[in-house]
Amino acid sequence: MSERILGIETSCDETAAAVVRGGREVLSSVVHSQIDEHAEYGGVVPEIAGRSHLRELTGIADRALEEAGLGLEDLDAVAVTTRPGLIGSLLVGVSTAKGLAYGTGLPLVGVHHIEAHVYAATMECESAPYPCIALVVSGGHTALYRAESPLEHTLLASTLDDAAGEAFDKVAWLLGLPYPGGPSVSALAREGRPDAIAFPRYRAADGGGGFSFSGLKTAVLYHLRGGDALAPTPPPERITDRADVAASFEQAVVDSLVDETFRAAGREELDTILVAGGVACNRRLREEMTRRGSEDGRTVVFPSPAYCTDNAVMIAGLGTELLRAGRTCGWDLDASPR
Amino acid sequence: MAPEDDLVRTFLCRSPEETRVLGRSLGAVLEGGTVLALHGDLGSGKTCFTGGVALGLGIEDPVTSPTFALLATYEGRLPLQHFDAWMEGRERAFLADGGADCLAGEGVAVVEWAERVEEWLPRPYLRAVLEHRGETERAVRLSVVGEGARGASLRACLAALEARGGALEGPAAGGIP
Repeated sequence: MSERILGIETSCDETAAAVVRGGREVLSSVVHSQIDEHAEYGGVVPEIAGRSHLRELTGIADRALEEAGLGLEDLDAVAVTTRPGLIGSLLVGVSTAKGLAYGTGLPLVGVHHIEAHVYAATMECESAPYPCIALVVSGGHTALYRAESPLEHTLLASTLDDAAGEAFDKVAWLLGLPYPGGPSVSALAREGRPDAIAFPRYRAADGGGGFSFSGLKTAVLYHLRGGDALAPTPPPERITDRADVAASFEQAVVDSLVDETFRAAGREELDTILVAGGVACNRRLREEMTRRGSEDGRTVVFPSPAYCTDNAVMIAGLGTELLRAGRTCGWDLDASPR
Repeated sequence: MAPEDDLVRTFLCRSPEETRVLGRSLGAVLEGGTVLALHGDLGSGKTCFTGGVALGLGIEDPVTSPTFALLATYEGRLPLQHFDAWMEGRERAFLADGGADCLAGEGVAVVEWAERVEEWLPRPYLRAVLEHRGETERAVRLSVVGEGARGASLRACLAALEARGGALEGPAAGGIP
C-alpha cells in the first residue's frame, strides 16, 4: 500500500507539514520553528504562536507538497494534530486541514500528538516493535504507555506534577542558564560529576507507577541554599558547584525515567522500549537507557533527533495507520488542549 | 500595615498532604468569580495547594504544573482556570493579548507566581503566600487584597476556613515568627 498523506502539526511552537507514502517513506518534511518569536518572553506565548501558525501554515504546506513533487490531487488523505496542545495553535491546523479536505474531497484524519510521537520512534524500525512500552518525555509531557499497535495505547503512568523538560527549565533558571533548560543544563552537566550530590529519586510509595520531579526541584533549591530550607537562594554567580549540580540533577532525572520505564517493562513483560519526545534527544538518557537495555536483555528504540522534536512526519505516518483502520473524521472534528 | 492586609490567616502545613487538605478546604467554600493569587518560591507547594483547591471544587482530573501551557482549564462544581506566571514576560504578553479575560470568568482562577503579574489581577482577590518552614513544612498566609462588592464573601471564605480549624493566628497577625 502506498497511500500518500499530507500531515499537519501546529500543537505548540513548530509549524510543520510533511508528505509520507505508505506510512513510512518520507517524501518531504518542512518544519518552521517559532523559537525566535518567543525567545524574548522566555517561553512559548500562546497567542503569538497561534498567529504565527496562521501566517505560516499555508506556505509550509505548499512547500511540503512542492518538495514531494505532488499536488493536492495526488494525495489520499489529510492528517492533522487535534490534541493535546495549545488550543489556539491546534485550531489553526485543524481548520486548515478541514479546508484542504473539504476543497479536495479527501478524507480527514485527526491524530493524537503523543501517540504520533510514539509512532515516530517506530518509523525507522525494520519490523513493527509491538507490543512495547513507550516513554514520551518532553517539555509538556512525561508519560508511560503500553502500546499494542500504532493505534492502541494504554496509559500506565504519568507525572504527578512537573514534566521532565519543565524540571530542566526550572533548574536552568536557578543556575542562571538560558531557556530551554534541557540543552543548557546538559551542556553544563558535561563538566560536572553526576555522583557529586545525592539528589532524591521519586518512587511511588504504593509500588505503583508514576513520575514526580517537584521534590527533586525542591532538593536542588535546598542544596543551593546550603542545606538550609530557610536560607535565601544565592544568585547563580555565587554558586560554586554549578556543573556538579547540573550533572547530579540530570542523573537523578535520567535515573527516575530509566527505573520507572524498566519497572513497567518488567511488570508488563515486554521486551521492547520506545523513547520519544524532545527529551529523548538527551545524551545521558540515551546512554543510560541503552545500557540498561543491554543489561536487562531488552531492546531500546530512539527516533533520530529530527523526529524526537515536533514534526509532521509522525502525524502523516500515524494518520496513514488511522486511514487504513477506517478512522477518518467528519466536519465536526475539533481540537482539545488535553 | 496596608488596609488590604487587615485580615490575615496563617496556617501551618506539616506535609504536602496537609497543604493539599488546606487547599481542598478552601476550594470547598470558594464562590464563582474568585481569583486566588499564589505567591511562593520554587517548591513551596503552589501546585500541590492548587491540586487541593481542585479537589474542593469537585474536580477529578489530577492537577499538574501549568507552566508549559500557561493556562490549564478543569471542569468541576465550578470551572478552574490554572495560570502560571513563572515566566513573567510570557505571562504578561498572554494577559495583554486576551488571557486576562479568563481571570474574570464565572469559575475560579488560580494564578501561580502571582506577584509577577499583580497589576493584572481584578480586585478584590484572595492571596495565599506559601513559605518554606522546613523540609516539608509550609506556612500558608491567606488574605483578601483590595476592596469591592465581593470582598465580604471572600472574607467569609477565610472565616469558614478558620472555623474548620488549623489557623495559627487570627486577624491582623500578619506573619509568624
